[in-house]
Amino acid sequence: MIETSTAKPQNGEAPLVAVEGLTKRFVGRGGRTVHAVEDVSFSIRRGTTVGLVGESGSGKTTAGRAILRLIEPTSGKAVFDGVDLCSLSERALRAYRQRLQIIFQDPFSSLNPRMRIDAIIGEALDARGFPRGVKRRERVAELLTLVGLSPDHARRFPHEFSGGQRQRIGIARALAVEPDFVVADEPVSALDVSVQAQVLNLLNDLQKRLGLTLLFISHDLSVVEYLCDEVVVMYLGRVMERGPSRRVYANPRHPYTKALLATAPVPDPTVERNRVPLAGDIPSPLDPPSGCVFRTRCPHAIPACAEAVPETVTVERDHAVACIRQDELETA
Amino acid sequence: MTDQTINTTAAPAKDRKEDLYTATPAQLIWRRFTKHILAVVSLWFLVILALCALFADMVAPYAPFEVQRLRTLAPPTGIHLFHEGRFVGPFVYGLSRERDAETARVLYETDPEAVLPIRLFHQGDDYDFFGLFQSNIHLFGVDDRRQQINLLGTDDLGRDIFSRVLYSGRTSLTVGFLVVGVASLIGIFLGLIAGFFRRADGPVSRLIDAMMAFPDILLAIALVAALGPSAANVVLALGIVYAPRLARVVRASTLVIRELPYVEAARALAVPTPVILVRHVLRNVTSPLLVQATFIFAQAILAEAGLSFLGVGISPDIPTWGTMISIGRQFMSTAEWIMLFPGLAIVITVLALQLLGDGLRDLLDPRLAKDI
Repeated sequence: MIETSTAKPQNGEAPLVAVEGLTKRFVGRGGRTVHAVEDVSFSIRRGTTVGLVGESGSGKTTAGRAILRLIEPTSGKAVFDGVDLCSLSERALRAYRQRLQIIFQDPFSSLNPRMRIDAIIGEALDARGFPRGVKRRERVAELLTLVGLSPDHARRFPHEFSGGQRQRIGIARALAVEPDFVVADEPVSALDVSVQAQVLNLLNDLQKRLGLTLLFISHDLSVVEYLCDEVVVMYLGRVMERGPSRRVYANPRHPYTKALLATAPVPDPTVERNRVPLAGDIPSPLDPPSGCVFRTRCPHAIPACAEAVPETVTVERDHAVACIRQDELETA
Repeated sequence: MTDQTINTTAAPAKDRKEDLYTATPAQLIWRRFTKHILAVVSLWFLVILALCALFADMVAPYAPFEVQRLRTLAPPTGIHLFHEGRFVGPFVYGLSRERDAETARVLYETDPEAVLPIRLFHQGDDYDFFGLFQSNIHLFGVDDRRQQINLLGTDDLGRDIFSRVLYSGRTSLTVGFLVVGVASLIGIFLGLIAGFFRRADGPVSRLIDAMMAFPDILLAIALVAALGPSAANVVLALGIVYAPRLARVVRASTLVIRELPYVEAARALAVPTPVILVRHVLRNVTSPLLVQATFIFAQAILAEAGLSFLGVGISPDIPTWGTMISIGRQFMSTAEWIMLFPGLAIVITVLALQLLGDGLRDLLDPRLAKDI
């Protein structure tokens, strides 16, 4: 029933998802504007996993939802398979809904507490017009098995499951419509550490088996390194750096990425690390700093940083950085 | 519900552990509810009351409209067990009737010779149970055709108050129930609209506020006056009066649920909005709704009685607790039981509903029932 990745053609040139200049501003009380996502661009090739990392408040969740139009973006494009989702009418979007799915952060509030598991997954099957009857029960059992649960669990309620199991149910629901593109919004951050690895391995395994294209939103750099082919680093609604994971992790070019990687814990007490101090908190998105949004916390900031929003420069193939000093810092 | 605990593939040890863990939500609710003794007592009282009202034809010894000219304004009779020091089982004394020569008032004396044993499943008047079947079996009665058993006395036309209280209960409870139904229909609709659609929230909430600004009874009187006095219009008017309260409860909960990921998941699956509203939102509003509905049930019974008492409600020909009190008012000084017992019926029923509502509220408190 579930196709394997080999069936999909690898047209490496056209990405499955291309986000261009995506912007989301919330207008709050008194006309104050929250700049949640500003001019975010990146693309995701078919069958790959892209990690979207950043501190809390960096707009990564909003970006993920805006791509799926669960939140209406203010401007910008989210091109999926050649079609700009942001330009579609609500009705036209419905046809695309089942090709786009989302896995939520909180496994407790992402399942309706009054519905049994088979009804929750059945709702997803309804969405693609799956017939009722014996076949459906088989399909639910198949999906539960796919995510490592027992088919006997189908008649239970969500409260009878642990967080990890619920997250698996959430994954089964997302996969029930056989989507092409899945946004995983911090799918393991609410789970116990012992369970995190299991769910991550499941996601990784499913991604490979089903040839899914995945946008993996996380604040955990080690998880992203483990799972993702490419990584996009966000700060205060803007993309700081993006590129292939291996290159970004080995050779971070943006001061923010460097700081993030330096503060990430390394499970080896003997490793000497030169910590780049990252003082203070992320500024308010109500009133983001002028120019480079990171300059207020950047150890290398110069007056010029305040003048203009730095352009995103490609430093190597697919590796782009938004920092005016990245050249001199690299050589320094 | 039992099929949930079946887990044939798991190892036996794990099986037992899961059995211990898997109490169904209904079981958990019931366990917590039974700790609330007043609420449990109230629930049983209401169940028994509802059954008595439903089967009033059988439980009541006489028909509600049966006029006894020779037994008007008879006082309530006590049930005795011992006659002249001898145990004879439950019985009532017959009444002898006299007319006061000066005031021409009818006076009743208990006749110590007339022992009327209470017969259970007594054959009395014929009745037709909702057109389903005909019978003449009553729960209790007395054999003597010239005497009656009037536990709660009779009214000015000699109608048995006990029987009328039961039949009235049928009407009053039905009115309460229908008012809750009408109020729910309107309130849920308005509440869901206001809570789910940001743009509708302002206008709908102002409408709700405007309706809540009127005193309940006053608005009900105005509506009945506009619609014309009939039982159906009383129900409709009270339904409109109480709808805003339900709307507020539904709106408040909807505002919270709207933002929850499972609603977002449904949107991501392109589930149609009306389905989301019913399946995901309304289904999770049922707890506060149920609590509020219980209170409105009580309020509606009270309001209906108030309207009937004021003479703008249900026609006096239809026995409700309100109309009974209304009739009894003129005899308040001489035959207080005509007013007293329907009044007590209202008090106890409303109290029971309120206690039940309190119990339900504690029970379904979101802080306690987070996972249910």
